[in-house]
Amino acid sequence: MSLPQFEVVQPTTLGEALRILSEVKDAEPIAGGTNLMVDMRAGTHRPRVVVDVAALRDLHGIEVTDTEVIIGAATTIAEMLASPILAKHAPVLVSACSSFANPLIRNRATVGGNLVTAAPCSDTAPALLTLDAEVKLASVRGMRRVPLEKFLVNAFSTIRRSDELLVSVRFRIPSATATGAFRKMGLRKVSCMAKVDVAVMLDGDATGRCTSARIAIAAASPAAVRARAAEAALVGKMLIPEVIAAAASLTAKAATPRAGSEYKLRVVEALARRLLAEAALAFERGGTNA
Amino acid sequence: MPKKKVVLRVNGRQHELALDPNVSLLQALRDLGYTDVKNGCEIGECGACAVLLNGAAVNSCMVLAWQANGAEIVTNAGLGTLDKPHPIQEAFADVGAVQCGYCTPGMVISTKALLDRNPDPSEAEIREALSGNLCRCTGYGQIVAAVRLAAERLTGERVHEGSRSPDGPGAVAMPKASLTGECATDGSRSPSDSSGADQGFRRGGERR
Repeated sequence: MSLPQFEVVQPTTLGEALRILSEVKDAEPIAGGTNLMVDMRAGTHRPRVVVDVAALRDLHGIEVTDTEVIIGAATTIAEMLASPILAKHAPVLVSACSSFANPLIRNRATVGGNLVTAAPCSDTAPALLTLDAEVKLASVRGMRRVPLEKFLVNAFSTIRRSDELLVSVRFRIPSATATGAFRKMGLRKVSCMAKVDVAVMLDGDATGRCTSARIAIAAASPAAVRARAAEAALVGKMLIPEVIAAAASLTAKAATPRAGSEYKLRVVEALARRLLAEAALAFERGGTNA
Repeated sequence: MPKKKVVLRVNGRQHELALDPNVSLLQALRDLGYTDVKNGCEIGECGACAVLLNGAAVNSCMVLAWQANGAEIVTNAGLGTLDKPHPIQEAFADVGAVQCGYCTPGMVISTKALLDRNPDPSEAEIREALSGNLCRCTGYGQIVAAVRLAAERLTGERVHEGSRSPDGPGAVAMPKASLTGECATDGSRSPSDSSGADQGFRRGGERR
């Protein structure tokens, strides 16, 4: 199956890429190509001009400052999986990357591409939502930083304007006592799309009381979402089984699966209960941020 | 849009080509005669088109040829030849891990990428590393055994007579699935030709 006709431009600087995106109609960025190449062959995406941003220096690398971790949008899933910075500060994201598709795809797919595509089954989105991540969008008009939660609007829909490029994702370094966990349910053990993703991030004080909670789900609603009511039900409470069960039940209420996929409500609840229990246990043991 | 001059360095050979923008790396490689790179699904599901791109195993159907300009590309044929096979290729043949053969080049590439960074993988690690490569003959047991065998040969491990399987010297220890008679080997090589084929499988997920 051959690809349809399109032009390719390969800017060498971010500024040049942004100028092209602002001046050229029907231009679409490409990095790893794991989504766009498929969509173009299928004819579901027909850009006139493809802007190759894979090699742009500004879009690469994982940095840590005193307060934040910053990931370039063209960083591959494999690079995140191998990152000592993420292993230390965001194991929940590394865990999501380890269940992402398969090694061949991980070597091409990028975090920016995963977020911009905004597939309901994105694995990086729920993990990044529990890290309260922000995305940075650049255009010739300037930069804006948007919480990931606001960035993701609907299935395959974000607030990115056509002249904007997602350049990086950032999140505050979680507290040393915070602990997170990610779980995916798919049709196979590996190399599958998520049927349900759940990610959690808990923190607490010395008495074992929960001081902050973030829970996110994907593939069980059009866009990956936070389960705010479930989070509120945990904060200020001791993480006993009854509290966890109530929060898990509220997590399922944040899910809005398509008709015929109601089973996902039960999967969300079960995964949330297990992950919260695991996180509570790790938290009791002194917080591994795992 | 005019064609662009693209340099592809494939298996140590340099090719200067004038390519249209909408040519995938897969198509460019096959047009150059590297037909060991198989066109399976073209949606990144099957891994038959896997190549090493600057050392990383990728689906060449997902890469625009222009994006591979100047990159170092290695295909299955670049690892070894019929006369001088790579130990991974030899292990695949010895263990009978090749049935129809269509997935084999991609499997070999993913194996190379795995063993380059993890010379002694467990069975679980092998299965994970090959999870992007589909074998529609479903001969996965033999493939996993081949990777184990290749790992052992590459790390220089040799089976001593004394540690042979209880089935006796020269016993052909194959994955259970192959004992049902479903395993298609070409007959030119017996798995027992290779010292270590048995141990390669039996050690399974153990780590030393």
